[in-house]
Amino acid sequence: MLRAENLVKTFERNEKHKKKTMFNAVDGISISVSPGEIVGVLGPNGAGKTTLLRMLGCLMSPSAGTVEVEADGKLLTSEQEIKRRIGYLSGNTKLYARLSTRELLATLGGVYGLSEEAIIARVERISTLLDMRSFLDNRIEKLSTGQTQRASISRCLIHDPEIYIFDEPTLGLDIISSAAIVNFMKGEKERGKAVLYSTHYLEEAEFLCDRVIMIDQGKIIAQGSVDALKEKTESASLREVFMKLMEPSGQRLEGGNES
Amino acid sequence: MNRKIIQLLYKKEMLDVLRDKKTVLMMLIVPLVLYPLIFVLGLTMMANISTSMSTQTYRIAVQEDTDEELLRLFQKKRKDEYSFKIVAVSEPFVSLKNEEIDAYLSREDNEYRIWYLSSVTNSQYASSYMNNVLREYKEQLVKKELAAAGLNVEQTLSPITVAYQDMASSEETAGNLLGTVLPFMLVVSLLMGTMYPAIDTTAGERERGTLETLLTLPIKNSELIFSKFLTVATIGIASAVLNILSMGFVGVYMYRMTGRVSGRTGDIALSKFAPALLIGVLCVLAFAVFISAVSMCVTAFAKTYKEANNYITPLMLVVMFASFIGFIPNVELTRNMALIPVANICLLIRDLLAFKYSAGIIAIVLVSNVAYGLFAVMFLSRIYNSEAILFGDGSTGVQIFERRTNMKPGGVPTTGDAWFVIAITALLMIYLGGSLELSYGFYGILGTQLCILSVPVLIALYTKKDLKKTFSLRPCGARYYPAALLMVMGAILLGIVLYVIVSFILPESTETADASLEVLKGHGLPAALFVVAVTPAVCEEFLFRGYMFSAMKQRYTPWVAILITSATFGVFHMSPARFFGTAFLGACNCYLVYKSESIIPGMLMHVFNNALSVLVMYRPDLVTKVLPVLAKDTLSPADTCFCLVVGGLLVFVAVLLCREGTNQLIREKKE
Repeated sequence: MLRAENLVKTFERNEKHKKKTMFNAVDGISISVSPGEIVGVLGPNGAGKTTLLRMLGCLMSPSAGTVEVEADGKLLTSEQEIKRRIGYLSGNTKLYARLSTRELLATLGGVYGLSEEAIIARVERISTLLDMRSFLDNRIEKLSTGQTQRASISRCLIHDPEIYIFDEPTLGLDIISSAAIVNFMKGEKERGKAVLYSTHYLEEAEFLCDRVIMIDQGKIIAQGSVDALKEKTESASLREVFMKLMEPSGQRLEGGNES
Repeated sequence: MNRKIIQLLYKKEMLDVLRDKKTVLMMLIVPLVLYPLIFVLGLTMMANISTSMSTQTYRIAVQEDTDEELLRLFQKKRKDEYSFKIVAVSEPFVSLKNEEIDAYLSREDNEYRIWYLSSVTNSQYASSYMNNVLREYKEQLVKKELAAAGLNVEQTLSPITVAYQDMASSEETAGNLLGTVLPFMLVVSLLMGTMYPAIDTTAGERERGTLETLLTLPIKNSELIFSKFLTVATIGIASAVLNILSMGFVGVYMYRMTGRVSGRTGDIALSKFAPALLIGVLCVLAFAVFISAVSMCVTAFAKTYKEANNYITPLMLVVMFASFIGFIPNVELTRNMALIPVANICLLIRDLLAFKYSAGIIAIVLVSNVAYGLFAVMFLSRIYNSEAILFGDGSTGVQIFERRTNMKPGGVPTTGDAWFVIAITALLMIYLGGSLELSYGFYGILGTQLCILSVPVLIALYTKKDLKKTFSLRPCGARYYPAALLMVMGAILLGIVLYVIVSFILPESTETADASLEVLKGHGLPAALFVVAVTPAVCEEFLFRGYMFSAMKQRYTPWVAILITSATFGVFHMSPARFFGTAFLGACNCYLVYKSESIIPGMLMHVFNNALSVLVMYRPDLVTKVLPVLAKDTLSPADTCFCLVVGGLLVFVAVLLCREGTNQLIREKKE
């Protein structure tokens, strides 16, 4: 179980002709994801989704607040321990183009502390699961977009983590590739894994998520199951919920910290 | 650090770098193709050109009344040598200018004059060959005169003969020749070899987007940096070895070739160089450690290839400049010199090839290189902040290069700005300050200090910084005044201990220690105090504890900021013997400025310290009465212990005085 309390991330805003100002990209968000649950993080560009996920994955240290993971009856708070339990994937986590997927997985497995035999067995399972046998030994730079995305997912799987954090995993993929990823997340949920993911595709989120969290300007503006949110806002779809909830905040600055 | 993780990451990095065709080509092509090509082709071409020059026929003109005998000499056929064709021209100077003839000979009584064009190669050669002919002609005339006077020609012309006999073995000659060139080429090839992988594994990794992937892994900064460092060092060593081998083969080939031509071959016993080569290999390894670490320190903070390239160019210039030292004759590798990076390796290799071995110095060079390198890597892994590099706000760039309209008012300088200001000030101090002090002596010091003050202030104004914050221009709490006094006295006493330790390790470095105060002679005490104590205290504090420290503090933890600022302060004083003492005093100043958030205690301490050294000169009687240890030339162990204990105690009390953050409390209440 992944849990975060009152996460805050402060950045310096650089605007032309203006004094440097501090602003909170994430402003006091508490969140938890339980095993067997898919939680969706929704929000417009610059809402703070990526920053939130980066803090949860311990890629970025929060300005305030805590991140912890409960696993095997233990409460883990150290960055290194938490990273061991998390599979993190985003559009920015690129792969080493000059290595093959097999070499990459072997290296990462070793870093996670797996034995050589365990790595071989694990690579075998993952390549069956993601149908990667045909390109396992090709250099990653030679792979197609869909194959690269599968290789990226296999990277998060090598240590069989309890928690997945996916930042817009289906962005820019064709229907077949994104369906594969959606199916993968569903499958992992059924295996009792906790999945936290952000997306702009609201239909996908509606189909997939047990719970959604909508954030805007660093704060949670609504959360709950899709049905509960629909009921609360008297909407027919998640898209409608989103549009209704986002309206009051009016015009927004594009950009923010989505790097 | 986990060894297994480092091993795995190292393996991955090596695989990644070695599969990059660009790197491999750069690594292989330069040593294996380019060197032999340049050397062999270049030398063959040069040889061909000089043969053609020496066998060519030159068109010359001579004045009409030239002696018949001389004309005959010019027209004489020489076998396999140059020859002349005398052409009749009406206007010799015009013809020469138009390059219709190569040279022209005029004569006025006994004075012959060769007219030529130094800008034209043929004309140069023609003039020098003409000179040969004239010399021959002169000899003939002399001989004729001597014979007419009834003298023995041979005995009169050469009553004695001189011959050289070289006592150096041919190995020593070759070593001496190699010793000037090889270190330079070695240092440069190692730098070139490490540059590319250093950029590729740091800025390249970030640019390719794999750094964020690495961050998802449970690895520590130190493991990340160390594995990258090992990769860079390995590639650096490999390319250096390839370079040396290639140079070696080319060298042997050339030697054989020239040997065959001159008829003497194989009289150099290569086995004599074995010990030099063995130690040389150790040198290469030690230097690889050093230069890899330094290149990484420079490139690790760049976000793009382009930025990394910009950072590494000055490093390259500095290293190349330092490695020129091997070309300077009579520079000895002393113990002091053995501590100076780059220069020490160059001089050691030069000495090794000249068969000069000193175990102590070899040890110092090797250990210091490895120590500097490891220290740099450790330092880098401490301050390397992957988050700032990945998602950072660019607080490292040099702001002054931006457009002024884009600069936001307020805030403190970036670290990039601070280094820029330090570099500019150092240059001004060396060139402008140096010449000011040469022409105006004592009062020139004021000019130097003005440079030190004006650069940071002007740049802070230009970049629209918050001057109060940048230079810590705030009043400080009352208790920082006694703290400053106690601290500076303690620091001075501890500084003496440091000086004793340094002079024990490096006896040669202490001789020039007090030469800087020589310039004071002949000036009154008030003037001396003003110029040497008060002015530097204000100006240097503005630069270091003000501009630089505020920039460093913004970016690093306070301790790291204090360390960087005071080490720079120490280096700035350009005296190896006083480095530690000065840096320590600087650190104490920094600490007080940091605690009090005001520059005033720093200035106070600085005034006190400098005034004391002035007083030692002007009123030694007074100083002896108050603190006898200060006026002594040599310190007994008891004196040293006294300094250590009392100094330590004073610093301790000063730190205690600063401890409870009452100053902060007061300010918070006010707000």
